[in-house]
Amino acid sequence: MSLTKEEIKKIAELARLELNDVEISKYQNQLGSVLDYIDMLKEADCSDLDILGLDLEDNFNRTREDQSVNWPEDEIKIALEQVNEKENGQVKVNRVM
Amino acid sequence: MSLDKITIREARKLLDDKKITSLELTDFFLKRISELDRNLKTCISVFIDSAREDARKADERIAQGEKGDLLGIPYLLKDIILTKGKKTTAASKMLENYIAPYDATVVKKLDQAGAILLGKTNLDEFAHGASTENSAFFITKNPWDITRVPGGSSGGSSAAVAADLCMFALGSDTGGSIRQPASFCGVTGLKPSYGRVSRFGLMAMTSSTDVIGPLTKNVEDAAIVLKIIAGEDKFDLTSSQKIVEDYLKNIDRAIKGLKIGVVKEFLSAELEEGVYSGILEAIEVFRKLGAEIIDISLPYNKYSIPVYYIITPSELSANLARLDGIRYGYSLKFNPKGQSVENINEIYAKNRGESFGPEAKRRIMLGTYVLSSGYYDAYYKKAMAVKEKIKQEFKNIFNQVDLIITPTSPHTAFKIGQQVNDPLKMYLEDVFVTGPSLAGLPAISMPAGFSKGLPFGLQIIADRFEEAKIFQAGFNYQKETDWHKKFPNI
Repeated sequence: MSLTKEEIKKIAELARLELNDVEISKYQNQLGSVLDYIDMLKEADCSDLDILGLDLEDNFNRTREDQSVNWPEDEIKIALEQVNEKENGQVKVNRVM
Repeated sequence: MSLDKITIREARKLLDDKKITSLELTDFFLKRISELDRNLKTCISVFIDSAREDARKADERIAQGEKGDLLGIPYLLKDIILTKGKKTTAASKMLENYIAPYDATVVKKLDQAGAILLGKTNLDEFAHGASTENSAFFITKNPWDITRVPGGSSGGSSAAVAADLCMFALGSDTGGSIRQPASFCGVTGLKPSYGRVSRFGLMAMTSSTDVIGPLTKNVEDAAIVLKIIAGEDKFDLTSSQKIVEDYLKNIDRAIKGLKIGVVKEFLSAELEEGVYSGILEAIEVFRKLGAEIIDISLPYNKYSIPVYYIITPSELSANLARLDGIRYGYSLKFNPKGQSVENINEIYAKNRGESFGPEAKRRIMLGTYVLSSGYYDAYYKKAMAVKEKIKQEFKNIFNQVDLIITPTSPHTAFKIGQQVNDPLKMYLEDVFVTGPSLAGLPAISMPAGFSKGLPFGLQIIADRFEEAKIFQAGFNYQKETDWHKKFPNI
């Protein structure tokens, strides 16, 4: 299975990745061969299953109160130091709307 | 006194008997790192000052009579686990200068236990890979042969333990990333049960299989480290509430009568000859120790790689979506008033496109594709169903046997560059180790011999939360053999 250039471009757009032409043609081949390989799952018989990989035995929802917790000041300071653009202690981003 | 190749157990005794100090031990490894790591390239960061300061504190605690298995013991940490105020890069250009604002739970636990953080090790970018060649910074060399890879993705950690640059290292294992490099470097590497160790502060790749675990010089040391880092954590709701056992209590108990399954289809022509004969020898060691060897079959295991390469890209494409360079990470200079890059999606795509390496991009795209409308049922839902079959298959087998033995990898370490252009071949590296990951089972790789001068590992898999059985079998094996005592001449 080979993906078209347009398909790769569409996936890259959905994934928010800017790719150059060399990358596009490289990923066309490489993703194609991985998808070919993955296709072997078609032959795996799962007709007797009534659950789909949801391990209900020991994975269950654990909920907690939805409340704000004060985080240590020094950790907040480090986190904010990572920000590209900030103003008055807030992250500044480009106009979205 | 020689500290060469010293184990945690041995160092503990020397520290408690006041024959050495933690500072001496720490300086010993810092010196080795400064001498040897120029060639081996296992570490991304080394923290000389903070390590020495922590060692002095540990010495004070010891002087005050405090006891603790890891008190004063130096270690290295895979650079995908957060360390407060210190760089955590994930070996990615995206996070090249990222300073973590908090410590991962495992780091906190080790700190409280008095372990000394020496530095942080190289990995495949965001733990995507099986050779550590996907690091954005440099390639780590296998200490047994520096023209070969150390395996991956925890290749910096495994190579550092093999080269005796630390007492132990932590890695992370999503589909084999502790066990395969342990095999390639001739060290012991444990992937604990899913949920046994908190992942708070581990950068998420595949949230349904990611686990943190130790790489050590022997099985006993792995048990010592797991005991400290395991347990429930309110910051990781997938961490298990099950009580952490004392893994050392019965570790030396004889394994007479233990039922060990050998997967017959794994011992096939695809194994490198030396690995094949070595694994047969290892099975004989277990037989001699009194274990009952039982032939078993895992027919669905052959689907574990295709399942993994649907589930993993799906989850990581979502987990890495947060990396857009806005709040942290690689960011192009842009003018927020909007002259240079108008569209916010364009900023994301540029930041991500310029800073993610080829394998991260491949996986993000693969995940985006298989989750996209029209393909979701054929790929993701099918993969989840087959994953369930793989789990059930293990479950049924564990009604008949206590443990399963397999080779860790079909071969020994390959040459650097040999398969970088063939992602599919790289994915197939994990053919024996991915099944247990998908099923959430604990599994260890420990040295079982050499093929053409290169080490290879034996994998022991147990049922969920049965780490103690793995340790017991591994400890008995290592009493009978000395593969784990071999170190490379470097």
